[in-house]
Amino acid sequence: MLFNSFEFLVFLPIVFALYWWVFGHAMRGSKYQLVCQNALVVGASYLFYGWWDARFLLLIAFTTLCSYVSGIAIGRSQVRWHKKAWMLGNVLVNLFILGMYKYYDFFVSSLASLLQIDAQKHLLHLILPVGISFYTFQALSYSIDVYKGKLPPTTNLLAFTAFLSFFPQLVAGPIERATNLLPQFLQKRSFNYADGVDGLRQILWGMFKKVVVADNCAYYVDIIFADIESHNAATLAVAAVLFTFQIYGDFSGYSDIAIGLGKLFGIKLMRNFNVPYFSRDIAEFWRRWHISLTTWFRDYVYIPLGGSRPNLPQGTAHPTLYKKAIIVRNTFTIFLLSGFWHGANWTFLVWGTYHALLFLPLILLEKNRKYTNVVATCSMAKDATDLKAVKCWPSLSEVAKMTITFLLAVVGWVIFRSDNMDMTLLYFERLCTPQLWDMPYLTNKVFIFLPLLIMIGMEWFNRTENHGLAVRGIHNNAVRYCIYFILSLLIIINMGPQQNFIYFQF
Amino acid sequence: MKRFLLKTMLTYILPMLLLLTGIEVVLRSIDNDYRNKEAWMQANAPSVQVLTFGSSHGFYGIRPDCFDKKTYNLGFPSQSIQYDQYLLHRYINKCSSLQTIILPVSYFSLFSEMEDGGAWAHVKGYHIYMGCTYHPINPIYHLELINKEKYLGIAKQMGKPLNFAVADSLGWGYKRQWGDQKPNFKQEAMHTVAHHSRNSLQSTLPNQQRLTQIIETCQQKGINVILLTTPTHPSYYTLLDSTMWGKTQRICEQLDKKYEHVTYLNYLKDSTFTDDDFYDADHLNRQGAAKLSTKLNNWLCGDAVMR
Repeated sequence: MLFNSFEFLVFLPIVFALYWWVFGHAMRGSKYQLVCQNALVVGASYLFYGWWDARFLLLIAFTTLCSYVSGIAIGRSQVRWHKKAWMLGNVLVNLFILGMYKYYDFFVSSLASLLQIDAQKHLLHLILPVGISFYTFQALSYSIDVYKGKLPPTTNLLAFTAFLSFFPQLVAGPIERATNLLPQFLQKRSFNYADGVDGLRQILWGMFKKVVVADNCAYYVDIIFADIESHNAATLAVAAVLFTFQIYGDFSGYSDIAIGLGKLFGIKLMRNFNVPYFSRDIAEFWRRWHISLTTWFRDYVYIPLGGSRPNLPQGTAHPTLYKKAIIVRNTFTIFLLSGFWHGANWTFLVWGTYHALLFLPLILLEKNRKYTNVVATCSMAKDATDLKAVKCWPSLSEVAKMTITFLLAVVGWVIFRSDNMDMTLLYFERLCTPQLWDMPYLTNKVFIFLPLLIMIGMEWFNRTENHGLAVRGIHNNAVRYCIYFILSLLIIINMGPQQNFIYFQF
Repeated sequence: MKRFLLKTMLTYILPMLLLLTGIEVVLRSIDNDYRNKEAWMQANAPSVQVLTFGSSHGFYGIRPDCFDKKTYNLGFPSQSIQYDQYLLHRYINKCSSLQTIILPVSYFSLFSEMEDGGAWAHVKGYHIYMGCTYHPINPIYHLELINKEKYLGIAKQMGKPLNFAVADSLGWGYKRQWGDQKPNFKQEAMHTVAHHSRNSLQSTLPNQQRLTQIIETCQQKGINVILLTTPTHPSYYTLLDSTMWGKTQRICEQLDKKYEHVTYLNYLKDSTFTDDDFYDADHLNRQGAAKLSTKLNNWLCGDAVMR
C-alpha cells in the first residue's frame, strides 16, 4: 500500500479510529488496552505490507522471531561469548537473508564476468522484498544494543513485532533504534493534541514534496535518463538537478509522512532529513541526509572500527600516519557500505567512493565538524530553535558554499541514478560539451519550477524547525489555513496513477 | 481527541470538501468533446454511415466533412483500442445505418493502455460523460479536478470564455491547442518515437484480442472494418523499432486476410504526403487531414461500387 494511494486514504482513518476510540477511549483503564493497541498496530502493519505481496510477510515474521529469540537468549546468557554468539548468530541470519535476496545475483554475475563464464544458470532472480534493508537493519540494531547492554531484552513479543513492523516506517524508514522505538510500544500512549496537529502538518508537507515536487520532476527525469543520447547537454544538466530534487522530495517526503503518521499514533520517530541541500560542505550534508542510516553506520560500524580517534597499539611507529590510515580505511568502509546498502550495483559503490573522496580531506584536516549549526544563524544563537538568532538571508560566502556542495551532490546523484557505469560515463561525456549553454528541452516548466520554489522557500524559512510546514512563526490563523488549503489543492490536482517511492527498491 | 477531530473536521476537511466540490462543478460545466460527442451520438446515431475511431492520429487526421457518406469522428487524443471497443459497443445498437468503421492502428496502438503513462487523464472523460465503468471507484478517473493539465489549459484561456472542446460539429479535432509554430520534425520525432516505443512487446495480447472482438462484433452486424495506419513524416517512421512495427503490420495483415469484411490500409510511408501536410512528426494538419480523408472517401466509394 502506498501513502499516496486511494486504499491508504481508506485504511488510515479506520486504523486511527480503532486505535484511539475502540482500543483507546473505550478501553481506558483496562489492562488489555496496550495489548489491543499493539495488536492493532501489528495487524494493520502486516495488512499494509501484505498489500504488495503477502508471501514476504513470512520473511518479516521470521526476522522478527529470530531477533526476538536472540534478544532473550543474549539477556539470559551468563557467559560473554554465549551472548556474543547469539548476537552474531542473529546478525548473520539476517545478513544472509538480505544477501540472498539483494546481493547474491550481483556477486555471482560479477564473479562470472571476471572469470568470463556464463552465470545465467547460477542466478536466482529473486524478487526483492520491499523495504528489506530497512527492517533488517532495525532488527540488527536491536540485537547489537541488547548485546552491548544499552537495552534490556524484551519478552513482549507483540510489542517487539510492532516495533519491527510499525507501518509508517516499515518499508522506507526512518531506520529506528530499538532504544527509541521499542520502549514506546511497551508503555501506554495517550493522544496529544499538539502532536496530532503537527503530525497532520508534517503529513501534508511530505505529501506535497512527494506528489507535487518529486513526481513532477520524475516525469522529466525518467524521459531524459531513458534516452541520454537524444538530449543536449543543457537538458542533461537540468535533468541531473531535477533528479537531485526528486530524490530529496521523494525520500524526505516519505520520511515526513512516516514521522507525521507516527505522531498521530502517539509514537515519536527519529528525524531523517534536516535540510541537506542547505549544507555548506559534504560533511554537513551527510549529517543532514538520511540521518537514520548514516547514524546507524556511525554507531554500529564506524565507531567500533575506531572512528576518527582510533586507539593505536603501544609503540606504533609513525602514529600520526597510522592514525590517518585507519581514518581513511574507516571512512571508505562506511561510505562503501552505505553505497552498497542501496543496492547491488557498481553505480552505488562508485557513488559511495565518490562521497568518501569528498569527505576524506575534511576529516583528515579535522574540518568535518566546522558547520554544526543551521546555516545563516547568528553565532550567539542559544540553539537551533532560537528564532531571534535566525537570519533571513544567507551571506554571499554561505551561498557560494551551499552552491558548491549542492553541485557536488548533483554529480553524485547522476552516478546514483544511472542503471550502470556505461550510462554514467555516457551521461558525463554528453554533459561536458559546448551544448551545455544551449536551451534545455523542457515543457510545462510551471509544474516543476513553481513547486520547487515553494519547497525551497518553505524549507529555508523553516530550516530551524522539524519540518517545512512547522508554521510556528505564522500567528495569523487565516494565513496558516490558506497555506494548508493551497498545498492540499496542489497535491490533489497533481495526483495521478500511483508513483512508487524511490527508496522502496532498497 | 474530540477537540482534534472536531477542529480538523470543521476547519480543514469540511471547507476543503466544499472547495473541491465547487471546483469540480465549475470544471464539469466547461464545454468539452466527451460531452459533445456523447450528445451528438445520442441524437444522431441512427443516421451515421461511417464511424471513425482512434487516438490523436485519427482525431486530428480524419475529416468527416470530406466524406460523401454521413461520417462522424469518435476519436479522442490517446484513445486506446480498449476505449475504441467501449465506444463501439456503446453506440453500435443505435447506429442502424452504420456501414463502415475506420479504426486507426498506429505504431504504438497494440502495445499501449491509456491508464499507463501520460494518457491516464483522458480516461476520466469516458467515465464522467460517456457512462464508462471500467474503474468504478478510483477517484482519479472520476474527478475532473485531479488533472493539472486542465488548469494549464484554463490559464492559457484566461480572459476568454472557457472551452475545452477542440472538435468540430462532426467530431474532427480541428482546433489545435498547442500553437501553430513550424514543426522541428527531427527533434520532435526523436521524443515522440521514444515515448511511443516505451512499452513492452509482450503487452500486445489484450489489444490483439480486443481488435478481434471489434472485428467479430462488426461481422455479426454486417459492418465493414477498415484498419488504418495514418501517414507519418519520414523523420518519424525511419526511427521506428522494426520489431514493434513489424508485429503491428503482421497482425493487421493477418486480420485483413482472415476476415472478408476487414481491409488494412497502410499509409505510414505514403510519399504523397509532404512536409506541408504535417502538423508535427506524426500528426497531419488541416491540409493533410483533408488529403487522407479524400483518399479514404475515394476508397470507400470505389469499394462500395465493387461490393
